[in-house]
Amino acid sequence: MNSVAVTGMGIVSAIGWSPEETQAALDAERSGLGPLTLFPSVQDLDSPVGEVKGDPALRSGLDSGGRTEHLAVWAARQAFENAGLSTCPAPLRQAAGLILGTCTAGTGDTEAFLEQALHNRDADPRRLDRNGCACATHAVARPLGLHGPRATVSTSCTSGAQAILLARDLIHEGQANIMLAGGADALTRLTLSGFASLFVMSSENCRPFDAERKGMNLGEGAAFLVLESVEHARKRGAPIQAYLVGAASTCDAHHRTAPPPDGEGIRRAMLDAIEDAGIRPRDIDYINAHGTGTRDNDPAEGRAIAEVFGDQVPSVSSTKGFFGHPLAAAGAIEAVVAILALRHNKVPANIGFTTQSADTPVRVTSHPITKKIGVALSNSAGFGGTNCCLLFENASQRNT
Amino acid sequence: MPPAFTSQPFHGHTCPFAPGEGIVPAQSLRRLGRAQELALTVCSLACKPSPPPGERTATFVGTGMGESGSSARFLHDILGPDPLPPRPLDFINAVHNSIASETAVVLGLKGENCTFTHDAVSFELALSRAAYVLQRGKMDRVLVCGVDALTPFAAVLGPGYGWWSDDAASPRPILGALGTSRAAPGEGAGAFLLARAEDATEAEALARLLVTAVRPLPEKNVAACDPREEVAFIQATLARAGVSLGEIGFVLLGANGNPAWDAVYANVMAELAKSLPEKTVCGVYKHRCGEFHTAPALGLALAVDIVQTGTVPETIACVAPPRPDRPIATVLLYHVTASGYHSVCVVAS
Repeated sequence: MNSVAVTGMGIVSAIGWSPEETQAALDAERSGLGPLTLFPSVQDLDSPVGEVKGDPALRSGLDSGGRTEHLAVWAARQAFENAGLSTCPAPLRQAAGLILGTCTAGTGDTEAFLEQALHNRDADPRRLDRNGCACATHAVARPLGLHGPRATVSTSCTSGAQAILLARDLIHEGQANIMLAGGADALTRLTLSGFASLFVMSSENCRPFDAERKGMNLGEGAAFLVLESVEHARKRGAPIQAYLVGAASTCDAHHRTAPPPDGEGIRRAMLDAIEDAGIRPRDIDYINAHGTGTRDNDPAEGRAIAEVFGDQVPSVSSTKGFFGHPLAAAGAIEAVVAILALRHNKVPANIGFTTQSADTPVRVTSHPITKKIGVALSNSAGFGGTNCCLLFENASQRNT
Repeated sequence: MPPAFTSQPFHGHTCPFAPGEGIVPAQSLRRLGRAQELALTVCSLACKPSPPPGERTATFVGTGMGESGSSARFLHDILGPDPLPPRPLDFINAVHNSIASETAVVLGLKGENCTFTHDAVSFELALSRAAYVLQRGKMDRVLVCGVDALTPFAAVLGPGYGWWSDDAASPRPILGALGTSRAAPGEGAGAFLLARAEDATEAEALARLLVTAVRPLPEKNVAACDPREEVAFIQATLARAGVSLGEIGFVLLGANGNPAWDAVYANVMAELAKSLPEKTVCGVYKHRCGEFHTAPALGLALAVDIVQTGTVPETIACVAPPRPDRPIATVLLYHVTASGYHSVCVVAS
């Protein structure tokens, strides 16, 4: 199999600042969604959001940069320490690479600059120097002293998952033995107003896959995995928390914002990832669905899952009812959630689900279930028809 | 356009044609931003006469700024003193991968679709990914595009990047001592349809991409760049493709008219010349297109042109006249960026 080891994880979202806090919220079925407090309401928006509680700037220790950068640095540092890299010899640490998926890096500074300029206040052009997505990648690389391969990708809501896929391939290619990969996005006025203008936001907590779903809630956060070649991880005695055994990415080429009704693109992503892993659909025990709670996404993804798995659909849940949709961070945050499911042998709940939707041929898990999970699948899909599927294997399963 | 920007001095190289005209159906150009139009135009040209089969063709776009003209418009509407209702189309276009996704929708490309947004090496990263997925057999074809458009943001960002030559409108050689005092901003797009060498017919193949690499510099300060280390990076990259410096017929550099950066290129070239065949000529191209994050895509297009014809087009300014008796079969592209990266790409006939 094409596997690489996951030797570290870091996560921050509306339900916590670490994997442990995240697991506790998942176990307690405690949602982090609530009213927007970060800035004045946007266009009379009445949708709950998944805000990160507390001050990311204090946690990150950075003296500059926007909210996305602060969230990214916090999660990346956690993952680095979790993998035991902060105490490793410098050459090993410095050779590590970094790939970040983000959509909103730099946006906070751009908004601040424009607001000043448009209101005839002195606008600091240096704020725009952090306008590009790569500013968050640089912000992570610098304090960790990373000198390996580095990239920033922006594939909308699949960005975090796509970053993990690309990092896995760089390890396969021999470009690096260790890669830090993940996603980060903060809530911004651009994204809040943008999604509100599309009328896809729910005025209540989202209810993915439910018959009465009314749309999505935006969220924010960041998550990183430390990926490592299996040989390298074993040689340095790193704690292997899971294996990334398969990954694939496809495009719908259908519509700018909507998936094809039959979920053809995400179906291909799942099938390609399963083939990449050299396993069968029935080997998969849990699917962390993209499940946004919108009218179009959930039935399309549900139909794709039904087609791939037939009458052997594993446990399925969307966890966006906990932290909302953190856009570019979603794929990475949900990868961590999938790995937590493997480690704890526990399927997280699809909170908010009460009534089966007639247009979705998949039944989701409405409350946490404890069961043996050998392989977990994490789906991501986004604007522009991007789809990315990641497959993780339980480390204890392989070790036994 | 946000009024706050219009008072800025603005001398730049804008694309001298209406994007898409006569190339892309008018209905496909509706409701697009400028970067999307530029990209769709060159991608359509690269895929002529017809797009390759969808499911086995990937689309990789490199863009430093994305469709930032649309995001500027959207933010201007919602953040101004008298906010306007947000326009959904501007938001949809403002998403960084809107360029790649629009291209995929129009051309029906259903393979992996990824947008690299990493400053001035965005295109090279897309190109590296393309080489990887082809070599691994993950895809049969890859459409690779580099694109950036001049937007209001460039007017503000320019000074920080050393842009804004007052005489930018007059093209001239810009390598080190030959050049201008500053760089000029530009815009443009380049697209390439790639296939494994064994899968491309002789009629299809314009050139061979031998190797491409992009890495962070040991030091972010470009002025501290050590020419010997740079030559070692170039040689190590060539070695991956089994190519030696002795086989290089032409070197195309990313010098842009900013003396601080051009000095780095001049120093690296001086060091490189010690190992290159005698009379190997180098040249520059950004005096034609201006500076923008994905200008290397235009550099690659010129390199392909050189190895196809064996000669250097007039577009390129050479530090010495190329020898007409020696057709050029292999071109080395070398770029170093203000954000602390270097990249190498080698194409051959």
